Amino acid sequence: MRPVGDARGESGGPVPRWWLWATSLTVALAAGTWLWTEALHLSPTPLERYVAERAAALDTGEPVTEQVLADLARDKLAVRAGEGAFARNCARCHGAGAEGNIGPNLTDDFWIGGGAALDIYQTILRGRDGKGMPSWGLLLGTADCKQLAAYVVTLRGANRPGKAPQGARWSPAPPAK
Amino acid sequence: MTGAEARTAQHARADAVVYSDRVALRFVVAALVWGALGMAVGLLIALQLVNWRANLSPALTFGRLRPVHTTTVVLAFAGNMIFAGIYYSSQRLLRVALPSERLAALHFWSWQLCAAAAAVTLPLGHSRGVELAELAWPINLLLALSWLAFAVHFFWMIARRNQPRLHPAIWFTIATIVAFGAAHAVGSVDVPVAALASYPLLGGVEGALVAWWHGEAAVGFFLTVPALGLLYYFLPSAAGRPIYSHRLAIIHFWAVITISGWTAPQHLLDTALPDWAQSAGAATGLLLWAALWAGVANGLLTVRGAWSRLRAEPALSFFIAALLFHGLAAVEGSVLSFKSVAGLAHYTDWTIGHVHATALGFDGLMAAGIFYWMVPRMVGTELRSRAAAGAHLYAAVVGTLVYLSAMWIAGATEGLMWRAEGPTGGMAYSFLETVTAVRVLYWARMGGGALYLGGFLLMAWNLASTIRRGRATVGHGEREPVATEPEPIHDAAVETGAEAEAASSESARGDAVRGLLFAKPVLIAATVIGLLVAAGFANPLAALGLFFLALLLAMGGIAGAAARRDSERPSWHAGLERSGRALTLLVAAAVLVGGAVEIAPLLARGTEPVPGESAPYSPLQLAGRDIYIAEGCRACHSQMIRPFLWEVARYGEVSSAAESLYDHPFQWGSRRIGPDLARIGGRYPGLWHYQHMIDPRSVTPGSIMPPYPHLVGERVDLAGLPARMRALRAAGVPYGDRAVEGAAAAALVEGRAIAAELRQTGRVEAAPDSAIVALIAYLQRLGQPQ
Repeated sequence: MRPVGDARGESGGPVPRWWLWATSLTVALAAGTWLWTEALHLSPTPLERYVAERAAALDTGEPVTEQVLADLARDKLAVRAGEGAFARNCARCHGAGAEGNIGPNLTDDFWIGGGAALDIYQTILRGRDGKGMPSWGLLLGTADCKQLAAYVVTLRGANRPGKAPQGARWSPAPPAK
Repeated sequence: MTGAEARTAQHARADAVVYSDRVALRFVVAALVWGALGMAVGLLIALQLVNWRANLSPALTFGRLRPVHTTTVVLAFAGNMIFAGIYYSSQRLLRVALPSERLAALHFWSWQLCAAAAAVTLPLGHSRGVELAELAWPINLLLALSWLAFAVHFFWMIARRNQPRLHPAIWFTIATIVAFGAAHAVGSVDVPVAALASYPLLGGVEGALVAWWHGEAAVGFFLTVPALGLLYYFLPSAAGRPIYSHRLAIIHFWAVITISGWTAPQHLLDTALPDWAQSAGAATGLLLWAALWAGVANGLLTVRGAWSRLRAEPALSFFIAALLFHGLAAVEGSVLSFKSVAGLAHYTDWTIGHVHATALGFDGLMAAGIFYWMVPRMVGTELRSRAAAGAHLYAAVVGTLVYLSAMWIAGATEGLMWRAEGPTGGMAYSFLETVTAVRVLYWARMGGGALYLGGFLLMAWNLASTIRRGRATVGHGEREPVATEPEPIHDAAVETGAEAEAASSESARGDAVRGLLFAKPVLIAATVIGLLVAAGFANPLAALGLFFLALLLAMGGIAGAAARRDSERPSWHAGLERSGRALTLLVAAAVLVGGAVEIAPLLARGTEPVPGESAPYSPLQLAGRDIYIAEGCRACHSQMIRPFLWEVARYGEVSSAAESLYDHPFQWGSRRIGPDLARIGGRYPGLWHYQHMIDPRSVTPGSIMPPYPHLVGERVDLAGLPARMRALRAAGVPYGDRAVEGAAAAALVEGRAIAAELRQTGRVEAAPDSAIVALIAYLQRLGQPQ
């Protein structure tokens, strides 16, 4: 039994043609990738792409106004949906009855980010940097955020016993004439 | 036979070389033992993912065992396999007896000691916290010494060789020695704290890139390159014919070792690594496909027409199957370097499948083929059972395919579910739903793995019976006359007067080496790489010009070489193949240039601290982080939110480089079996974490996380905190003197506050210096630097 010998020989087979083509293809792809993204900057960087996508995702196309939210707060189905979303996502920090726990009490007259319906919506949608409130717009979608805001609007002034007031006193503006 | 005896034997019979296979056989046995153990651990951790109760004890949780699995399989199984193959083949390829049995034994036992130390210390929680580089610093040191023993022995064999020309298998081994040695040296630079504790000198982004450069060396230069070298010896041996094309072997070798050094950023696509480095990794990742396929082509074309040998030689089928899986993994690797694919596959089981395509499909089958070939020859008998070898092949191939398919489907499922949007916007699935969705695939993966291990055990039995049946004189090996071989066809004219003279004197030899180093092909290649690197730093127009210039030069060089093909003069490479020194120097340059070009600018620029993003950890948070590292939380939880909408929706705002500036080691992770934790801080009350640690299912029904009730009773070593902070200060974390000296007191104050909160919210009594309080301090700080 002679195990060796053949392995140490060699032969001069030609480099396969298909391999040369495959190699040229990958070289072209690799060079193209670099030139396209880095040298010529024809495609956005991951961060640039994300910023654009984010702006698009949070823009619903139709304007969200104080009036839209006020109407929604009178819509029982919307408020009930908002209540469900609240129990699933918000009760953890704001308490099951929104009386406050880690987050502030939402039933008093004091608001950290403003107590107008639109302020509440923006706080839910984008969060409050540095105040511990995360942004929920991407996770829940804008529709859910509107219903949530509608539900929270109905809690305003309920003054349930709970966490001590935080933020500034807010009172609704006198109704427009 | 001792080293002295070996030398005497060689000198006594200058006309014959006696090969000693004793150490190679030992490495085979060690590979079988560690392989079985490593795969059994793999099976256990696979079981833990479908049934959390398989987390048998605090030392045997998934987080602690996963590095045991990877380290044992990579270093102990694959390592012992390549050493066995190299000791066996190199003696024959270099026509030299083993220079020193003693040095070989030193290499063998020190390597086994490393493997054993890893298998013991990792479950005990002594981890550096860097993927594929978890070993505590003294073990890393021992590993370096063992590697050095291997390197010295190997180059000693080269120096004493009776075969002037170095075979391709030898080139690949040289590349392995240089690349893994360098990566291990750079990748394990630590500031030691205690006997088994240390912090990596580099943290954050820099630490991440160096760690994955080392990781590439572990996967590329440890699992792939040496096995490719062995293929160049064992495949032609089994096929009974020379390798198809020497020219293709040359292209394969230089392409693979040069490109492999560049691809580290492939593991960090869409992270906080600078964009230019990501693009460099993505582009070179594409190139690697063609480079690796040169080897696949060379291997398959070698066996073309030798199919009749398949029946005669069981090893051959294993080599062919290994080549096919290798070719598959090569394509897959390139596909994964496309950013759109990486965006889907990163953090999913696809990555796990990809590495197993190489580990099970390539290295495991290579090992089997090599062992089935070597062992009967080493002990001078026939293989005990060919039928068993055949059954092993089927079990291994089917097992691997089942494993890979399960992971592909699981990876795609996870990736798609993570990003899926609901009908009204927002995320369609909770994270838990994405975990339970792949449960059945985890069972399938376990089945594939079990089948594979079954085949492996069959091989172990088969080889053990063969060894027992073989002659008692194991290790005396065979004799072979030293007669010079007929010169292979390409360098019929190599032994020119100049070369013969060159060999005679030392200075002339130096000149010859210099001549080889500064030859035209080297200068052209260096210029091309230089132009490409310069293009990376240039403005768009200049970059285009430099690219074009590099392309022209490369084409010119290739055309020139092709024109000289039939010339009578010996080629430059034929000369290089005769000079171990010149070859080693060029190999070193080739494997190191990529890492240097990518890492150096990152280190030179550094990362600027950003207020509100970068802040050192408080003493108690640091203690909690040490627990996080010891428990191996990184095995399942990433801390790097990529710039994708769905990631931000789930985990919070995109992670920045400045945020992990003071993370020694970085904890970005590579797999999300659980959710990302980069911004977990402040999301839940402390009580949530407390209950979740003690019993994850009480808070998240259906969770597969192991329970950590022992953290309640464990105490943090407060007195040891100043030493740890001083070590981190040496690594660049700005801790003031007062903070260091008052660390224990400050930790106690912070711990009391958390304990008070737990008492208030849940009537839970926790000691302020308990491990669970420290861990809560750390988790609550993630994403919320103060």
